[in-house]
Amino acid sequence: MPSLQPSDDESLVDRARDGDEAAFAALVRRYTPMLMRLARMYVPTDALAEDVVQETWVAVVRGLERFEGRSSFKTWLFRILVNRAKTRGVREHRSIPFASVGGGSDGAGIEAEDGPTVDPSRFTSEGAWTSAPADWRDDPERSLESDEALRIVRAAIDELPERQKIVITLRDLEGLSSDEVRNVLDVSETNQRVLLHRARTKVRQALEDWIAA
Amino acid sequence: MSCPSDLIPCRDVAELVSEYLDGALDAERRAAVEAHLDRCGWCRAYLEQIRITVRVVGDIPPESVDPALERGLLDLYRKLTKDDEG
Repeated sequence: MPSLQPSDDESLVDRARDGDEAAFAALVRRYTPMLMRLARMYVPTDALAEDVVQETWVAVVRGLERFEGRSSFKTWLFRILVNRAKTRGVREHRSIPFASVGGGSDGAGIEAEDGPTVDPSRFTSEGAWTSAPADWRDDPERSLESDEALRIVRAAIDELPERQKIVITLRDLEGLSSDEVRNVLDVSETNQRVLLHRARTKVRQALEDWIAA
Repeated sequence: MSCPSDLIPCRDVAELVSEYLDGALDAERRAAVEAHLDRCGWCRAYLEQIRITVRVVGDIPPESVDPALERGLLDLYRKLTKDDEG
């Protein structure tokens, strides 16, 4: 998982506030790829995502004076991005994931699926495995550390329903904590857990299919 | 291999492993999962698959920033901070 130092963020933010361009550039380099990835989930084109990211950084520069560090910089930044991306997505007539931000009704439609995440035929009627899940630690070819594994995982994430995609990206790829994700998306703890669990099990399935092939 | 019948079934454990890994289970369910994992190698293997999945997702490298976008953002920063001073 990425391990960004929050203290680094703080000192960069302080310096950027004082007009230190190099510090701002470091923040831009650190976070713009994540912001692009997140924005792209709300708007239909890369060009629009770039617009949203640019608007976000403008809002950050304008808001730095007022940023008091009550939330982490990352949470604050991602929240600005999500709000802008939603506004833009609505304008583009996209259906917006987590549309209820601020509205608090995100329980309305947790992805229209609530069945088991493991194929029921893998279990006996008593609920025990019918055959052993493969031991992935026994991976002599190191296939799970290969670029191909990363490609499979990326493709599997791309295929996920939007809300699952966003939650797994923020949690497992960008390394946000569960609290941070709750703050960025205004999603309940329970829904976040369900979405993350579903997302992880689908990515796991993709890896399993690939390993078995 | 079949699971001892005094434990929650593997099917239920499979739905809890993600929260288990995140330390998000309440004490009671956590204890039930741990008791199961102690005695069920197959569920331990499944847990490990999820753990490895999370690791591989975290290994996806960050993309680089389009240099033109970065230049544009730095120009904006210069302009905005100058506006503030003026």
